[in-house]
Amino acid sequence: MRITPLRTLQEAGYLLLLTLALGLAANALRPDGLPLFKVFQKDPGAPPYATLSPLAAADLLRKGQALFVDAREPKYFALAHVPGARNITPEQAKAGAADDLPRDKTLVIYCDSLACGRSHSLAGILLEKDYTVAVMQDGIEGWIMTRGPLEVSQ
Amino acid sequence: MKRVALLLRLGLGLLFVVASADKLLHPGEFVQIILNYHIVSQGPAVWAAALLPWLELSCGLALILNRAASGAALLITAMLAVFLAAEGSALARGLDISCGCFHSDPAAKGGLAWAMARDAGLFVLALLTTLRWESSPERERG
Repeated sequence: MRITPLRTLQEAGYLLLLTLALGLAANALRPDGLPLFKVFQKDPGAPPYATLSPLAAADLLRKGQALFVDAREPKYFALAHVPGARNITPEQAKAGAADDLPRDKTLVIYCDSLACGRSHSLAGILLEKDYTVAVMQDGIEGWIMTRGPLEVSQ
Repeated sequence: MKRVALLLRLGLGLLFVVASADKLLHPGEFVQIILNYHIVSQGPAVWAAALLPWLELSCGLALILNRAASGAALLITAMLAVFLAAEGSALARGLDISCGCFHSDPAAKGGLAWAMARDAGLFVLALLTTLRWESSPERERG
């Protein structure tokens, strides 16, 4: 049988239909199936937690309503971090290192900069542990840019 | 030449079957990996996490079993193009994330440049496989 572009597209279509059927059936059958038809937040791309500017995060800290959590590797945390911040990487949080955090404060999580993903990874993990979570999106770079105070580990 | 084509088909097929395994077992973690790219919102990410591993598995098996293989090669080429675009975008924005190509650990990081180079090579191989079928007068029976 000659393989024509039309036949290739037909086969691709069959495979897509098979994938749709398998994916939906498996998701419906498994106990940890994903919420496919849940209506998420309307803002496209918005994470399920607040994102704060460095100034808003500093304001929360001043009011005693926040604890900063630094999601970077310990060697970077040691160089400079927000005063009073706890250093918990996503890996450590998964291993249970975040189980003693206060539940009466907003955990303001940050990493290097706007571009780093570790703060969002950690936020997702802490959110699953039912903490009140926010991400300081501009990271430590944004904190420094707004002349936020820094602490260095000895 | 036929042997090379056979190896290419089986190799690509096996690679995509292997790539789908961990994601099929941990769909929740795979959602977070997709969200780490900051390209799509939660709704599309959940659908992608539910269906993409099955598409990888279906296409991989189709190539290995040589059933609907030209369609599978086309879909794999398209998938790799999407992966490359996503990885390139993440690299351009300086995201410190893992590609999540063969695992579903959302906390992993780094290796995006290497993943992009690997996927670029795979894209060329997948494209060659697709074009070979398009120009082939008869279906190869490996």
